[in-house]
Amino acid sequence: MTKISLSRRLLMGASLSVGLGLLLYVTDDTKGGLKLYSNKVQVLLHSAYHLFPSSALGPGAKEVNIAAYLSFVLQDKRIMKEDRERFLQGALWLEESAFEMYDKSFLNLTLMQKEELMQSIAAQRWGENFIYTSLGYIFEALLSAPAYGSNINEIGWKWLDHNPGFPQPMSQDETDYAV
Amino acid sequence: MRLTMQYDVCIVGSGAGAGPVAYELAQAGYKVLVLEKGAWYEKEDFFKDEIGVCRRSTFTPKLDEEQHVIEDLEEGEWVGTPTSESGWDFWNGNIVGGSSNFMSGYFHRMKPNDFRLKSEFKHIEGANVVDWPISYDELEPYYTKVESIVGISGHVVDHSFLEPRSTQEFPYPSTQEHAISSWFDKACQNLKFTAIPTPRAILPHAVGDRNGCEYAGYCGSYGCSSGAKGSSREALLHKALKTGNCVIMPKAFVRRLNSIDDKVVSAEYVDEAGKVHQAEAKIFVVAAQAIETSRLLLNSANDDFPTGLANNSGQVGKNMIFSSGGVGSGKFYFEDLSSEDTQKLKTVGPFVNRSLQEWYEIEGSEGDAIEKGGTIDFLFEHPNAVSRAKRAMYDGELVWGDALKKRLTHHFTQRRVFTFEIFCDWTPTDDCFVSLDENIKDKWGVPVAKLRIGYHEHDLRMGQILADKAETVLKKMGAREVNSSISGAPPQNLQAGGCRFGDDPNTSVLNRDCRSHEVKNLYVSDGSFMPTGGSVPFTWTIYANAFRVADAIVKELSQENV
Repeated sequence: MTKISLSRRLLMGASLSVGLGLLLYVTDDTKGGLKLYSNKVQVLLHSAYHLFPSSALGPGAKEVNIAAYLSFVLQDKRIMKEDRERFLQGALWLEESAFEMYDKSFLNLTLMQKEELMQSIAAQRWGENFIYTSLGYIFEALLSAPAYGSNINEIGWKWLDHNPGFPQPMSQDETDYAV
Repeated sequence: MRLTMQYDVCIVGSGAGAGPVAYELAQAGYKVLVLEKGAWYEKEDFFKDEIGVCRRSTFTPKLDEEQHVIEDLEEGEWVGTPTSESGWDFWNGNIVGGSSNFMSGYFHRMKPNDFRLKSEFKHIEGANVVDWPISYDELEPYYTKVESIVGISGHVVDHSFLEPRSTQEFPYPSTQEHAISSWFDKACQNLKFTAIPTPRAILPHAVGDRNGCEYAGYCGSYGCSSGAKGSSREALLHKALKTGNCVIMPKAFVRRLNSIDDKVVSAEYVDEAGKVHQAEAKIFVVAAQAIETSRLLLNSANDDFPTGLANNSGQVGKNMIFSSGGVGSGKFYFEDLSSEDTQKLKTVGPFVNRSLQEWYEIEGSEGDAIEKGGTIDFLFEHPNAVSRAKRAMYDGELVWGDALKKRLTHHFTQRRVFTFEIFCDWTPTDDCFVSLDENIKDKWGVPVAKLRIGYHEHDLRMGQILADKAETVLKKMGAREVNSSISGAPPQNLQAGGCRFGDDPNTSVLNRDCRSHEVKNLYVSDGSFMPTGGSVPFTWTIYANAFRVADAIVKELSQENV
């Protein structure tokens, strides 16, 4: 329990590679699954970059620091275990679909191939659910309090001219609501 | 472990049905124990944090640990679905102060005819409508008491269905109002409708230890960080604690009430560490919110009450009611407005504070008896950003990439959405009730509540009549894309019934003082007592009735009847 809490805080300010390494350490207790798990997280990240790309229209998943936010989500005990596992399962199936269609990892697809693949899975129930869930977390990263580690410098709020109300949590501890 | 202190009254729950009892009994010098299953937060703990407050189970239980089973009609069969599977969450705030922490605070009194629904209105086939055993006049002093003690702000205007008042005006002036309120008034004037300033359980200025509203623009669903919102915790429990006569025990889940003969002897509760305790008192008051109140009584069966405590009439859990109606909206596009009006419309913070009760009663055609209509409250779309963003995800089909970004900027920066909520009577029937699920238990091993959610078609028809009227106003104001949706799905946060009060022990659980007909020292003071709910949100009535119940308990204790 202590390790998770400590790691979560470290993650919020950690670089992507370091963060994912910690994530492996604290969340997966089946040694044999470590490599696969890491791959799932990479797939989650790269699918988020595709679904919400950096462009002239506004910040993308990368700019809002989706990596830190997903690290938080994957350890958030308030999310039901089944929901978290379903999300990770979606990443696994996306990766499997990439191999089926192009014989390579999602991470190594061209932009056009990624889009074709997304269109393909969106026509399937699991795929639509996966994209819907991913976009939901992207929106959370984009529009939540910066204390969660994303929405850096309120980039999402500024982009959409959103008034978030006050007071806002100013630290990671204040989002824990532990009493 | 046994508590060393002997209590006069033990209250299960700490929300709107509990606060007035704790407040009045503690003020009167009686020793009160409040057992609340949730944690204890204060205003300093509340942030406008959509993730923590609205998108996670922070102030409500995780559904895989504590849930309900919802029975809905599917192809002619009642099919139960656990909420851990559906995600349809019927918890409303399991913390000290209960769901009153998270209410919007739209406060309306019931009308005199609401107490005589069976006698005054057209018969509805298949409905279990009854008159209340008390009249509006008997509750009026308590409505007034809530205005001053809980703190209700507003302004009285005369209209067709203004309820009789013992005071001319609210004790607190209305909270600051948004510019759109005057646009609304103008449209209503043109339509010859009477716009009513909506009373709010929100203080416009500091009173005692409570600050006035800070106009953050987020109210419903959020705990109040200023103390202006009249939650049970802020308005009543704090004052009860100050007497030194009240103890609030958080994280104390009451799993059953133990009784001997016709008296409750202890509330059996589990603490955070899983230890079981017995709380003893002279009088027990259950106010755990309607579904959970019925569940607790049903789970407290014993040899004297084999189908549930106070349930030898078989009425516990029956005739659950919600608020029927629906919602609607219209969009104001900035391109349709002057730059000055656009800036006014963009302002976040002040309240709309407008409602219509023009059609609270509706004339029948050709000499038919009148029918109950309802209340329409007007407000802005909730500002929660993630929820609003998710509405942009579908354009016929799921969209992403730059197409999604264009939709987001359109939704957020080109318009503001004005909405309305309709409150009609939920007609009580045999198809809406609480029982215990035979298979699913919570994390303590206690059977969870199963809720059947059948509704009466009548309610949809009345809701649609009001929705059509509300749409007329939005169109007159210049809104585009005006639409509405009337549904038979129950709003989880507006629940009542299950332990009707009445004069006949065969058809009701509680007497007119909300004391069990069958168990002499057991009271129920949340919304469970309501046989019908009026065409308004319930909270003011729950507060008022709980003050009335408190008076009955004080009287009983003072006469040493217990």
